Amino acid sequence: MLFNSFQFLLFFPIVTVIYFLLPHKFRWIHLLVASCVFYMAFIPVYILILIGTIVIDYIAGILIEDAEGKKKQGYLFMSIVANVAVLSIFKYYNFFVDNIVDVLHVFNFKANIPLLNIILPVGLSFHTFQAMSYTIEVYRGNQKAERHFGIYALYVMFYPQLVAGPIERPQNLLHQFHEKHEFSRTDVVAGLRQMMWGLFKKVVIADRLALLVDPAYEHPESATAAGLIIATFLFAYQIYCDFSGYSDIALGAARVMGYKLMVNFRRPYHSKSISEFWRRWHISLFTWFTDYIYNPMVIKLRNGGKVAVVFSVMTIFLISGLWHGAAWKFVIYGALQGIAVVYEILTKKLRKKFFKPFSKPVVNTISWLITMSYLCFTFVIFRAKDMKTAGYILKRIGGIFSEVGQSRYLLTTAVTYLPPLLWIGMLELIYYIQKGADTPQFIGTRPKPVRLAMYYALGFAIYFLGVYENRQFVYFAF
Amino acid sequence: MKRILYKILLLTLPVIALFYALQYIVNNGLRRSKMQYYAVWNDIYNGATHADILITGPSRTWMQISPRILDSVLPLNSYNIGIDGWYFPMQYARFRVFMQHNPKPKYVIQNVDLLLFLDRKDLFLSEQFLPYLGDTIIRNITNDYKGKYSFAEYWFPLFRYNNHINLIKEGVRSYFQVGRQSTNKLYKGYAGIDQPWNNVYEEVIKHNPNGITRENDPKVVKLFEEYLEYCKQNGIQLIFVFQPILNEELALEKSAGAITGLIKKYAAEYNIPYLDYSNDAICYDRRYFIDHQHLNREGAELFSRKLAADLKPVIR
Repeated sequence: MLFNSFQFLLFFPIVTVIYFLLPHKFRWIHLLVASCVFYMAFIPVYILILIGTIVIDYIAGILIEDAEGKKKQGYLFMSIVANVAVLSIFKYYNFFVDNIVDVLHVFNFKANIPLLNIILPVGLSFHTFQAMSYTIEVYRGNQKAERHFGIYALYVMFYPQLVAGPIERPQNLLHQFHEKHEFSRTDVVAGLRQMMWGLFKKVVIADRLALLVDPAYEHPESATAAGLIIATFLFAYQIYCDFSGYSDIALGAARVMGYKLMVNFRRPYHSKSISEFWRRWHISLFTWFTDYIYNPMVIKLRNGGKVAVVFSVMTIFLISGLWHGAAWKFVIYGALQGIAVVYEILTKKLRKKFFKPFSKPVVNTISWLITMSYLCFTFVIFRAKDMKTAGYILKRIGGIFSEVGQSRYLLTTAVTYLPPLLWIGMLELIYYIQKGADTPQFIGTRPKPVRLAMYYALGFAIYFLGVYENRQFVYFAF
Repeated sequence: MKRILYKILLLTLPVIALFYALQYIVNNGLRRSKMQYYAVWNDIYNGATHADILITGPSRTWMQISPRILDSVLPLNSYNIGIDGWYFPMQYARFRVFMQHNPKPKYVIQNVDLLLFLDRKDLFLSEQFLPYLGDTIIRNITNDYKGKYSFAEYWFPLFRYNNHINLIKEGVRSYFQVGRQSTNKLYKGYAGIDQPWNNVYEEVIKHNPNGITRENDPKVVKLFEEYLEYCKQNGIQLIFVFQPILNEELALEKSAGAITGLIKKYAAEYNIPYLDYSNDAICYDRRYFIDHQHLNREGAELFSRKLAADLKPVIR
């Protein structure tokens, strides 16, 4: 079920009202059933995979807690292998087979390994990572094993964050299912406000930008080079509004029922370095990588100096690239992000020295421009159909100066792309006006008439300007 | 919880009521509008066509057969209900709406060509149906296509005009007769198009180097037979017209023989006059065409004069 669907418009109020009408002891059953209905609206049979991983990790959690030493480690290892195996089969099997066949072909071997004809289960990478964080935290002793199977199942399946995160940690979420959440007007209003803002970003901005980005990337030969540059910039905002919009709806839906999920985005495009970007973008995933891969690696290789850091950084970015999809373009995308972060780490002192004579605003502006340009460059690879198309687009962009001289070139490009750029301008203006505050929070602190006017403006924009063509959230594919 | 639900209702109910009122205004305004695509539908729904001769078909009809020319030669009144971009199923739906709201025509000039027994997948120019979604014929026919109207578009007030603010404005202006009113650029459903030759045909050749094979859709064939039967039962004289098509393109059509054979078979079976212009002199001159399928205004008016002359012995 999509958050921007009319099924959800019915589903959400019904589930929420019933939730508050039920006594606390029955609420977990209600939420679990609702989450199953929510998930089964996609491909019902895939719930079996989810149930499988839930059972494995539930048992693993208890075994890990009760065991000691090598046995404990063994149970954790088995649980991780089981999760990674599910992910590998459904997400990476065909990719691996394709590459093995290609490599064998180089050595004149003809391999006939069958491919799987399956659709990737929605949100598989999200709930698998969330399940893994549970067993790891139990192993580390930061979380007690959950003995209540239903509550544990709900931790993995809680519908607001089931298919596209935030990827929660058990310490933040599990205990909330045991607590009684009284109806709170503050939470309900704040949650609804956040959902409204998220829906606005998704259906009004992201899906509107997609109407221009999609044709430019599907048929780059028909777009001008300037058009491709702007389309890439628009894509940066499309994917941000799409994904952060989803997160806002998820956080808002949970908040209405009194649950607090972790923040997933902090205005990533205001970053002045790639490292900063990754601290503001998809925070729940990157803290996951930091907590469970990067930090343990750095500790393990602590005598390795900078080489160890570089190795650890590249490892998490390569994995993160692969996390986004089973294709070389994602691996390259991850590698490029890693290279940028490594560059920033290695040249930190040098850059500081270089920029010393310049004023802070100048340094910030230059840093922001470099960061945005680099991000957009990597987004070409991320968004393009494949590496060949990405290469073609980058080549066209590189040759922009040979096109600009054509008659009406800039006019045609401006007419096509100006309206969506205005949407982005509006979004940034909102961010500028509210200074550091969170937008829904900012709206909530305005005087009543202004607040009401903003609710109506957002509501009307969603209703009349939203794009409703059954558009999935981009990150559902991961 | 009650208090907050009450507050939400208090904030939304007046807006919902306002939207329903506005939807009523916009729907009715558009039903009076002279805006292209609504003008013909409105004439049909308002029984304002006064057609003795009804002309029906796709874009090749509305931009190629001029009722002004036909009326000047023939003793009867004609009206063109050709519908842009649509194949026979939608043409037939429009004909059925016509029959519900207008007196029975004496003659129906039915466009026949190589695309007659095909259908499209998407709901092309879907905006044109918005004010008429309450009509059963429109509701049923639009349900057959990709992009069909959702539950929300039928039942949520004004939601069908989502992303069509211009239509809301047009509806309000037209309902209250205020502001700039749209003018009808069509004459009895017809508008000649002044456009130079474009490169659509070159694209067709590029994409079909080995010619074009068309497969009739059995559902459309069945529907066409239903239509023939209906006209026969109701004493409506059908006239088949195969309008000019660029001669070079016709040579690409691999299924032309089979399709025209079927058309001729129906013509013979139902005693329908068949006027075939697929080999007319117009077909050999690109000056009269916008692309391989469509005549420009000059070509359309030349063709209309020929058609009117040829209809004279048929229409009494």
